[in-house]
Amino acid sequence: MPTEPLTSADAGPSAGEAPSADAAPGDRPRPGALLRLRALLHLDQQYLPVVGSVVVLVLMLVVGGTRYDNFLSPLVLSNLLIDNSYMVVLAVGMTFVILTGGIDLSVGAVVALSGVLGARMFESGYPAAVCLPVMVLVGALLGVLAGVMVLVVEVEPFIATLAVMFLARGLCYVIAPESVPIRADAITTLGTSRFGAGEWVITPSGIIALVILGSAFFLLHYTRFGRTVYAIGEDEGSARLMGLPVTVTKLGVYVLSGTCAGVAGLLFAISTRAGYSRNGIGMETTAIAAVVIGGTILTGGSGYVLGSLLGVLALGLIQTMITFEGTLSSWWTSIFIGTLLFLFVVLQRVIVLRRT
Amino acid sequence: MSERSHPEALLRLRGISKSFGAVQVLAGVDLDVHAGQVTALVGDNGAGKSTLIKGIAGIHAFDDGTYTFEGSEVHVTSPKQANSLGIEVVYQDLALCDNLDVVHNMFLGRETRRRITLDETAMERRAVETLRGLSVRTLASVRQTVSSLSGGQRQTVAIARAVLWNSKLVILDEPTAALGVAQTEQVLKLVRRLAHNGLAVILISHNMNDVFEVADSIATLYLGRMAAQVDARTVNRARVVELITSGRSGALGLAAPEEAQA
Repeated sequence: MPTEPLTSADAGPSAGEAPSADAAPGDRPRPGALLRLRALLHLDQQYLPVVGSVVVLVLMLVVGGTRYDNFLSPLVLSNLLIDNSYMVVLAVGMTFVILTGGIDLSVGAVVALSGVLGARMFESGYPAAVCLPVMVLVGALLGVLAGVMVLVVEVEPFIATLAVMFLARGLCYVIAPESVPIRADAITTLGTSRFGAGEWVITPSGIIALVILGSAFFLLHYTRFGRTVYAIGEDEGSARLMGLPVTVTKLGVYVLSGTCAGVAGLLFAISTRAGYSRNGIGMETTAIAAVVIGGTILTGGSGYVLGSLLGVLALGLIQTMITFEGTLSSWWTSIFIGTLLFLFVVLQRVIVLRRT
Repeated sequence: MSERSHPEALLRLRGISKSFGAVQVLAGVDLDVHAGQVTALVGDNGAGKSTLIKGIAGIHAFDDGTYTFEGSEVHVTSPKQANSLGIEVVYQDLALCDNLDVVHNMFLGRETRRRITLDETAMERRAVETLRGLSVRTLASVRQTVSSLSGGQRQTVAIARAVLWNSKLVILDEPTAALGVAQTEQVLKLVRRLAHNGLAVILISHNMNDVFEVADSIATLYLGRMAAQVDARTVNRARVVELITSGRSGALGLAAPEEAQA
């Protein structure tokens, strides 16, 4: 078999070449050097949306830092993570679902249900060792329900999770229509503990969020489950032909998202010290926005949990900036989120179009 | 590598039948596939080629007939079972995931693991070895995503995926259907190399050029029956086309009076 030139890889209609084009200017240097240079500067197109998220985040930090005093102080930045820890957890779960090409609209209602259920159980005198696991498990259970609807009854994820959303929200009102305060020592301790070095602080909630983020990263990139999630998102039919465990993996993804919502409900209850049926309305849309701004493509198959962390932090920064501005009303948050989301959707569209 | 002179067939089908409801798709089909040879499976649309290979691959079991693999009779009822026997299928619509790289695709679903984590180094090493064993030199990197590959390269990766598992029989469903001239040449060379490496290959193709270029044996299905399985050196293109279109050609093929009623 004759040796074909190494560059014949470029012969095909390869869209992936575009990002490295600037690495190969005008005259062609020695091929070895060229290849090495390209390998060094080569940025796979799939990282592009995440790079966008990093750019946006850095830009916001720079603008905030120059406009306001103390904006870049360790305390403000620490609080950015602490205040949004429940959203980080939600976005992590949502990332898995969106990577398979699905969506989970139930998470906001699950946050409320988890909180209300926990609050009522604490009120009835159950110990924390029972209440905390139950708050997480109720999310997992609703995740199973959504997954079963998607897989067995073959309902669209949009509708299946919408049904779970209504179910969870309704259950909230059955358990407690009014706000139920949580006075348990465990929750108070979790809510008031601070660890830190100097001005950098972190709360138990922040630590939980980071641990979940780390576990999700590991799961997604170092296990067979994670690899299968990406394969399903790209092309479910191909994944089936290749003999991948599509059903089990998709079920797993909804259970994971539900469990994350349960944990987020716990974290939200810790920060508010109460359970309330009307909590978390619209939280699912914020989580989806964070995931999209973090560079995950809604049709599935492309994205990273670390990107979703960036997305959550970017949304949190908008809130922080508006607080610092002082004169702007809080509804400007929505307007900024909308604008950012729009820009990212356009960016994604451009990338998808260029790929095909 | 096996000798041509009367080796025991690796895969031996006798009297295979398969119906879907009232429709009999395969009736009394015989097929011999030898290691180290390319067996072309040809036939018009609806002749039963896909049903036959899906049965071999365990996607749906045959109704009747014997299925002998490596000398012992087997009942293959699932793709997993076929895989464990050493049978791999490369489907026409190229089951590859665009967003993953070449190594990921080759190992998808059967990743090498160190405890629970994926062993990327071992997988990459084995992917490179396999591609080298197939004399594939057209890939710049095994870490590029499949979306950046040309049609021929994708087919190469799909075939490499199939031979990675010490497979004994590789079934290729129209591997050159969507390819240009140069890429077709590249894939046909690879098909030849598989046989040279001692694998049995079943090649489904509509393209007589491809068939005569690589096949040792040509099996012609006609309306769900095996019209003839002949040595590729003993027939010419016209006779094979005649077998495909009318089920017989001179002394070859189905007997005249019993025109297939299926």
